[in-house]
Amino acid sequence: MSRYALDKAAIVLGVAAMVSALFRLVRGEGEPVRLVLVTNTHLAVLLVLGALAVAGGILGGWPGRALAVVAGAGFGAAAVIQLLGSAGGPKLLGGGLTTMALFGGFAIGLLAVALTPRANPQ
Amino acid sequence: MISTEPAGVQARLTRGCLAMVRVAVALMWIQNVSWKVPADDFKALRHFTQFAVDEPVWAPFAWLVENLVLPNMTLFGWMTLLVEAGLGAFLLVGLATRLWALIGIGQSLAITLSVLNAPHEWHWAYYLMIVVHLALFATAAGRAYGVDGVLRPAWLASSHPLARLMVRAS
Repeated sequence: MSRYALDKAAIVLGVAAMVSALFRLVRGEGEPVRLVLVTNTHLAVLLVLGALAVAGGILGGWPGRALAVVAGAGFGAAAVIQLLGSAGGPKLLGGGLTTMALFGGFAIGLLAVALTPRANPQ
Repeated sequence: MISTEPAGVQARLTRGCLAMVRVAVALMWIQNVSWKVPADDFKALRHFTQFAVDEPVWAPFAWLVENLVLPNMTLFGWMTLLVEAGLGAFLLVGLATRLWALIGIGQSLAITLSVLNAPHEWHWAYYLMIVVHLALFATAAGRAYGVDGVLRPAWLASSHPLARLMVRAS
């Protein structure tokens, strides 16, 4: 495992988050392709935190890693907020369980790649 | 037939297809957490779970649902929601994929035993759910363009108990 592989993984996860914002374009209620319900608020979360993860991957080193941790923790917090909103709590991000699972995926992925110790460069 | 394609192209094609299957299965679980709503005390999930009793597939499972699951539906609703959200999240990024593929087989079996005999159901949908998770497990699909593939070398090189666990889970 190289530093490059981990940084590239952060970039790929960030890009995937931004690409998943395209679900915002599917608007019809009950549409079979509406796999994830993305509102304007969710769109902002996906684009901002996704861009942060990409920036972290490009930057590399400890500053890049810190950015990836922030992005992963942000997705984790967003997932918890979505869950609480769907359980009757305040819908700070608009609620929605599909986005809870989506945000959760990006959170665990980013935190795993950012917090795994890198091999020392030879 | 002997392939004339370079080995690298074949490998990339295989890995790409595996990643697509993994992400598609993740999106299936993600879409289907949408109606497991805690705020309405899992009303829709309770409706489908009731089929295990009304249209039983296997008598011991029907007994279990009637006497354990339905009387404690709030607890089982939360368990279902968290397991299916976990399936969507972990399979999406390909982390601990083999473990989650096994969990997916278990969850697909539970769904099959609940609704296989329900009206208007296509039984092959449930058989396919089981076998697609079997395929994800057999191929260790998270190693193909997934987080497992990136982190596995570090886990293999480490003697930390969590790393050893992740080697088995991936």
